[in-house]
Amino acid sequence: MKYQLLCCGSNGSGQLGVGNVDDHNIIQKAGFLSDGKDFITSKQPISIACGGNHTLVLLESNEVFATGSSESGQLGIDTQSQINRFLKLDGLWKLVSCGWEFSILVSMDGVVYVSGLGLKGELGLGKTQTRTTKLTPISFTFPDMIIDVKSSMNHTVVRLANGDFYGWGVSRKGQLGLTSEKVLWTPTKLEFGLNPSSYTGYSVGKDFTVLYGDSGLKFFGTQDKVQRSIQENTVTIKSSKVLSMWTSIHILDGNRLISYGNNSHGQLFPTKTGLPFKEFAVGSEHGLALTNSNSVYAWGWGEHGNCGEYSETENRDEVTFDYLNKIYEGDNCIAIAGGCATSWIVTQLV
Amino acid sequence: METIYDEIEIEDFTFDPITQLFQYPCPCGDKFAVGIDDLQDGEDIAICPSCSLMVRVVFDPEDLKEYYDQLD
Repeated sequence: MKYQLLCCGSNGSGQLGVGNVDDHNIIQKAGFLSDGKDFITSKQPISIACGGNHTLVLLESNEVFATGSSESGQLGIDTQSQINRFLKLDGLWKLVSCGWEFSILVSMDGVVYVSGLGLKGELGLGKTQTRTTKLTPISFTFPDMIIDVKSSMNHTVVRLANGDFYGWGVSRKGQLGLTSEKVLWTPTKLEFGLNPSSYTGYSVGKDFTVLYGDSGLKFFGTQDKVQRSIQENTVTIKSSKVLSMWTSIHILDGNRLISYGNNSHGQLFPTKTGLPFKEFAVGSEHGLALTNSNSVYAWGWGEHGNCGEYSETENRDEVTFDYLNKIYEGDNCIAIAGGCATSWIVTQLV
Repeated sequence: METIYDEIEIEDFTFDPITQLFQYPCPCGDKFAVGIDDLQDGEDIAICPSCSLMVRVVFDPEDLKEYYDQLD
């Protein structure tokens, strides 16, 4: 099988990996393998993690490629302040996530490595180390295997095989569960009220963590508009998938997508019916939906081209896409992902 | 469309005593910024140099004292 990585959106630091630093509102090909200049790979990209201005791509071969800003050491490679094509990191990796200016990588034997800047505990290396420009292991032994890692702007939550949650970073708003600490400087077992095994999944937003499962949805942290909607609508949805933008949550309910939170720029999913989609993804303030017919639509805040081109008719502009805008149609799309005003599509070539 | 994207507490901003700017991440990758003197003058909007988004800074005027104290 052959695969391509396609993208559009914000690119001022080279975070799209397309060989330049221009924003793009038309889908581009990201180059990786052999110095970032090959557009086609035989190894399927299985995870795309995005920070404020950098991107990590994990391939099924457990290799990780990185591009974008390295100003704070977030790429974990010794390089100039930014690169605009994907470079391969040393080592083999199982899981990746990115926060604002940091990267988290879990090695094949379950050790968490971090790189970048985290003035508020984001690196999990303790109060005395808030910056590292090379991948540095956190000297903490988790009691079980890490099966998931998710980061938002400045907190990280990992899940263990036994169901437990551990986390670090900013905790002041309650985003790391029940704790009186403002910052968790090192990995700490998190308390989210119920028995952890009652949650099937979780998602992280800017100042919050959402957990969901058979008993419904639980919100920890602060985001007034999300909290108000959850209360008003008494959310009891048993969802199989919930994703978070920075200031909103998006709940898959059967084949509908229900959004709660900040709608300042059309972030809430714009239609209650229509558009049968098989997959959805979100970025910082925009969303993507992949239809059964291999088209990708975007909605939300699209000022950097991440929601595609806009039509000048109907009083529309390049900032707010409070409707579904088609950004791609073509080869077999197998995955989509969103970053900080960046959009990503993985296609499988025949 | 001119709408405030979000409201952010001053404690969540990073203050740089050299530039005298309060900064906070913008979802575009750049940072919202506002000067301490602007806040003192009653301004409460931080803008992003790379996009049209704006946030309102939530603070009391007396909150600024601890930051002015860092300037010397």
